[in-house]
Order: sequence, then structure tokens, then C-alpha cells
Amino acid sequence: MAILLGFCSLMASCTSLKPYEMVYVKDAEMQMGDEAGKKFENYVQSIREGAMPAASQKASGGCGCN
Amino acid sequence: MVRIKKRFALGCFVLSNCFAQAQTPPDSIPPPPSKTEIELVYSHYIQEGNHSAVTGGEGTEKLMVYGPSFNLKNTRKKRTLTLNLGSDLITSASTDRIDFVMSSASKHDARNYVNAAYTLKSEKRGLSFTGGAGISMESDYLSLSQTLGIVKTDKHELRTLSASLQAFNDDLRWGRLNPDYYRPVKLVYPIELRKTEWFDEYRRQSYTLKMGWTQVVNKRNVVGIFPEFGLQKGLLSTPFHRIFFQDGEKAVEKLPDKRLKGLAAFKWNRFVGGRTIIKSTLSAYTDDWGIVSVSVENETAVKFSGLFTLVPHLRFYAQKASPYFAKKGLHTSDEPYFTSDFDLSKFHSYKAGMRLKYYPRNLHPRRWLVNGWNLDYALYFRSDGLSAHIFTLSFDLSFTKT
Repeated sequence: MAILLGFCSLMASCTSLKPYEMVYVKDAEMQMGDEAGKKFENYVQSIREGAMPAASQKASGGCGCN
Repeated sequence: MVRIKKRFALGCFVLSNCFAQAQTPPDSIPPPPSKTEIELVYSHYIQEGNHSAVTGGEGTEKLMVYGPSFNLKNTRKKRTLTLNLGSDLITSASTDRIDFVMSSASKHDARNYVNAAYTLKSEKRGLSFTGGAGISMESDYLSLSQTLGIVKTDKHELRTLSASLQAFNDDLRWGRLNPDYYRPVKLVYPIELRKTEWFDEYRRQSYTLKMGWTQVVNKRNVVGIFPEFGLQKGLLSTPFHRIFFQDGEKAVEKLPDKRLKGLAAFKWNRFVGGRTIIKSTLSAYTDDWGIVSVSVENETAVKFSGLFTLVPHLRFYAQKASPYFAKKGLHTSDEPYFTSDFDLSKFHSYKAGMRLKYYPRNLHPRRWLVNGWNLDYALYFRSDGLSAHIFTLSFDLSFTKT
């Protein structure tokens, strides 16, 4: 519930930004994609845990049975 | 005198117009340069544990993986081509126990894979379409994959919506990387259980629908929601996982031939001050095998001197067991399904690590450029005693053709 409330308050503050105000959100670290190290860790987690990690590359395509 | 000056100025204007080149019409603006980005990656994985499913839930899980890979991304005008190829060279003590002959051929394995994708972008509509295919091969596994995806970005670049569908067609027969065969032969069972043909099926199909919604909330906050649904059909058991029943009899793992999965993740990236970015992820998962899990992850990127970025990261994961799981010697043979694979047991896990990134400012553009490198280390610990060290080193290069 707290998460939902926090999310709603975040959404309520959505504003349009001018191009010069985009400097922080365009920063490479602010992107949602994963780097090579994180992708490999997600791959390991997809094998060693019952769940599939969010946005992982692999949903199958390998035994992972070692 | 004034008249002469006026005539001179007029003459210069006419003359300059005679020799001036016409302005380039918009449709003949030279295309943006072709850019190729290359990523060289080496990953290393060291695992210790004592709950191997190959030996029925007790036994060494010692494992080492050497994983070089190569990623290429070529962008020209509206299209992008990506290529990802690599190999995981595996040394596993647990799979060595399939036939009880130590240091036999089953100790070493490799996973070789190639994935390619083509993306077409329509900037007017803010849409991009992706189609891709891939192949992954191990001695006991062949996987063919196809991907279709679409991304919609709004005109202010504040919101993206994405959806992709992945399909995998897998064949679990062994023999492709064995020098005596180099072709799929049969399912491989534990050596003492090979008198019985335990499964008729040797194929597995997996389908995953991934969706995403990201929103720039304000100058310093970006959020995203990522729901995913998965369906797997076919042989979902691993044929060389042993089961030891209460009465002392043995069998191979037996799991349902269908699995439905659902996952939702919420991500929040926040820029704090002038050099710190806090990235948080909360995700929840459930499936019809009875697994329910939650995970919380945090990465905090701190930039130093515009060159180095240090990213400490932490993750906590907790999972409820599948009812098909029981420890060695606790299953009975009249149960419909049984496994002693601790990956499906109740546990929690921790991951803690550090990533160091070095990306110097390139003030002198060159055709070939080493953009930077990343070094990542993580320690993974599972509450049943399994632990792992995970290393990744990657170099980013780019080539720009003007």
C-alpha cells in the first residue's frame, strides 16, 4: 500500500521537461537497461533460483543443470 | 560618392549570389554516420555447494564457468543490427557424477551461442520494431530462439512503452558436442538408471511475453514497471537428476510438463545531488509449480572526477518452496511429481558486489575509440549453503564511419 501511495504521488508530480532540463534523466546511469556484469548475474540467478529475474535475457535456451 | 558605394554594394551582392551554392534541401542532408559499437566481455563464475540434484540433493555442486562473449551493434540511419556470440566453458563436479567416473567426459561441457537482431526505427512515429533469432548449443541441449519486439517513445522522450515476445524451441538430447557422435542421440540418464526409458518427450517449448513502461517523472526521477508472463511445455524435468525414495528405490526427477510463470518488477532510478544515482528494483514472481518469490535490489552509482564511477550493489531474494520438492530420501514413489533440486526449495539469497567503471571524456573524436571499461564482482550466497563468486570484465569500443 505504501509503495502504491508513493507511486501515485510520484506520478502526480509528472511534468514536461525542457531539453536543457533532461541532463540528469539522459545520464547513462539513469537508463533502465543492464550492463554486461548485471546481465551475467541475472543469467546466474535465472538458473540458481526458481523465479525468472526481471528483464533478464534468458527465459530458456540453456540447461543450467550443473 | 554615396551612389558609387550603393552600386558597389549591389554589385557585390549580385556577384556573391552568382557564385553562392544553393542551400542544401532538407531531403538531401547527408545521412548520419554509421556507428559500430563493440563490447568484449569476459565473465567468470566459481560455485561451491553441497546439494547437487544430480546426486539426489546431496553432493558437491562445485562448478566453474569461463565465459568470453562478443557483442556488436551497428547503427546506420534508421536501422540497427546487433550480434551477440559467446561461449561458456564449464567444469562441473556434479555432472561428473552422472556416470560416477570421475574426471570423465561429463566433467567438461560448453555452451556456445549466437543471437542476432534487426531493429528498424520510425522517428516520426516514435516507434521501433525488432526481430531476432538465436541458437544455443550444449552437449545435452539445443535451443533455437525467435524474438519480436516493439517500442513506442513519446515525442518529448519522457515515456516509453515496450512489448516483446520470445519463443524458444529446445531439444534435450545429448551427444552434439561428443566426438563419438556430433549429433543428438538420446536423453542422458544417471548410469545405474539407464535400463528404463523414463521420458517419451525430449523437446521443450518456452514462450515469454515481456512488457515495459517507463516514465520520466521529473528532472531527477525515472520509474518503470515491467510485467512478464512465461509458458513452458514439454520435458521440463532434467533427465539426469536422481531421486532417492524413502524405501531406498531410485528414479529420475519428474516434474509437470507445463509451467505458467508471472512476474512484475518496479524500478526507480533517482539522481541525487550532482554525482549520485540510486537505482532500486522491487520484483515479485509466482508460478503454477507453487514457487512464490520477492526480491529487492539496490545499486548506488557514485561518479568520481567525471572518469570513474563506483557502483556498490546489494540484492535480497526470498522464495517459497515448490510442493514437488523434498530432500533426499523423503519422497515416496506414489507421488505424482518429485524433485530434490534445491533450486526449487525454500531459501533466501543475498548478493553483494561492486562495479567499477572507467569512461574518460573523449575530446578528440577518432574513428576508432576505446570508450571505457567495466569491472564487476559479486558474492552470491544462498541460505542452503550454496555460494558463488561472479566476475565480469568488459571493454567498450566504437568505430564511426563518416
